[in-house]
Amino acid sequence: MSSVSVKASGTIPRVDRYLLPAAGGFLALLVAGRLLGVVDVAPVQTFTIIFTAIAVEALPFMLLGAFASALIEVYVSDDALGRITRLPPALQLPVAALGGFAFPVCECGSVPVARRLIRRGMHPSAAVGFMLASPIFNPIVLLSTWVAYSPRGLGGQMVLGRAGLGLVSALVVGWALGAEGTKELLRVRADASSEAADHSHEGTQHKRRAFFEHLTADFFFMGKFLIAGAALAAGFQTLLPQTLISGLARTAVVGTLALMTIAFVSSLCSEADAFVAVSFTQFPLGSQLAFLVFGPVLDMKLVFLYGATFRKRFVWSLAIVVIPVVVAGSLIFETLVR
Amino acid sequence: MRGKVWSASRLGVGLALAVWASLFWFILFADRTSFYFASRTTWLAPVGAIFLTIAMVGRLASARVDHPDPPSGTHLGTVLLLIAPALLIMLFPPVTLGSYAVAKRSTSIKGAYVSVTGRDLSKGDLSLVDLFGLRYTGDLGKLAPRAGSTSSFTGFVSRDSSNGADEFMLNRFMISCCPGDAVNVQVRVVGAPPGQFEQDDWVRVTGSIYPVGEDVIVDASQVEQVPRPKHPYLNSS
Repeated sequence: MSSVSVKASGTIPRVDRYLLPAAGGFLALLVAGRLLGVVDVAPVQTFTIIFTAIAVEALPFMLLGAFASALIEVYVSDDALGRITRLPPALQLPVAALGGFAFPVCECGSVPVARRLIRRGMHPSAAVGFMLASPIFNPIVLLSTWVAYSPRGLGGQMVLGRAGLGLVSALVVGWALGAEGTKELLRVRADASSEAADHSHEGTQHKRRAFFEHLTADFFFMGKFLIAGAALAAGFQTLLPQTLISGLARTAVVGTLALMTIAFVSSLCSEADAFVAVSFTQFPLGSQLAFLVFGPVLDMKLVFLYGATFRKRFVWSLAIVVIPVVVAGSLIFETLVR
Repeated sequence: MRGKVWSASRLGVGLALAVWASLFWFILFADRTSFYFASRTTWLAPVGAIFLTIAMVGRLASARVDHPDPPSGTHLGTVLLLIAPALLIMLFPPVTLGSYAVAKRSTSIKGAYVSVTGRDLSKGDLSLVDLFGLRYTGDLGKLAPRAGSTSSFTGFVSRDSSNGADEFMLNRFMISCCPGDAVNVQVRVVGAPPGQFEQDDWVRVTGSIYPVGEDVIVDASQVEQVPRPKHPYLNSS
């Protein structure tokens, strides 16, 4: 159970706390803009055009991802992935990481799935590898990346780069962090006894209902991050002077770290983030790739989800391992495609 | 025994989906796809409309529950946040990136390949896409034999401090995916009637072209105001 359990367990209160005033303020601005003609002011107009365009372009992919995720959640049993537990430990990690292609769940869905798999006996490194690879090495995510970049003749390179660096990151982190035992890795939950019951959807009517519950819960949960991320990207492109952006983008490492920071803050869904990444035209392709790989592995919403699932030091350990891997990978990619 | 009641929370999500589904159908039927999609991504409009409609129908069809389910303030806020971009599009007349964005957007794409039309550029009318492609590949020098030949370009007016009274920049944004990734294609127009054209006016300029370094100068023989084109953005391929 992906975002449903996330919502139910109330693990993201700080994000939600500011939503109502933010949304209310946004709508008030909308009405005021209409009444006062403020929308005719050039910066507001530019912001509005970029903001709405990114949201419109990305939303269908977010919804497609939610459809796939709901289908898997309701119609595919854990046993399909659980077969990996019968493999030798050394094989579990790579097979689980590649398994994301057959089980395209987004980053929010993959966290509770990984927890469930560990509790069912999968080696922790394999479960962590699956958790980090599935939001990237995923047909819908790779399709959206191809759609975003192919008009520039870069669809193939970006898809290969994203899949490759995503897999490498998942394998390295899985290997480094999964060495710990289950007890050291997982946070103990008060409602642990109910976890086993998460996945039972019996009967056709119940399954159909559960499907739409998951679908709309994902849409509702991820949609607000998509809208906020589109607004952040539009604000970035509307307000920051070209000279500053060019200065950041001039140095590959600085540009890469800048876009990784934006990926962390914007917390976009991996099915939709390529349309935001492609808008950072001034930045090198390697930096854009870092945005696409780092965001699905570590962002603000995931910090809350990881916090609810793993022990406290997990996020710090993850950051320490994954940041150098993504930076190095994006620099190598940049030299290869230049 | 009480029957099922409508869940206000589920209806709220259904409303958000309904607004977005309406937006996609609106974009399709009002022929506004060129404002939000590049030519290679227009298929997303019908796909989005269909999937959003299915999700909306599914949500509303399963919105009756056993017990009343009043929405929280946070839930209402999220619904409002979700529908805000759709309302922005449907409430306001369509606008396109203009002269303000010229100063904020790049005139080049890092590491990207822009397909050039592939046609013979030694004769015939040049397009702004041709110029962008030549600038990207560093081949503007190939236009040298065409210096003084006549071409026509359509775009909007912007001015900067380097422009004289009879000069302006003619701009057109080119999109690969959506206006979020727009890059500016521009030429410098000289010999235009002073004071006749404002920022953001759409004009068609006919004149002699002169490639000078990284720029192209158009010595205007005719400048006429034209309505905004039906497809205001150029497409890279």
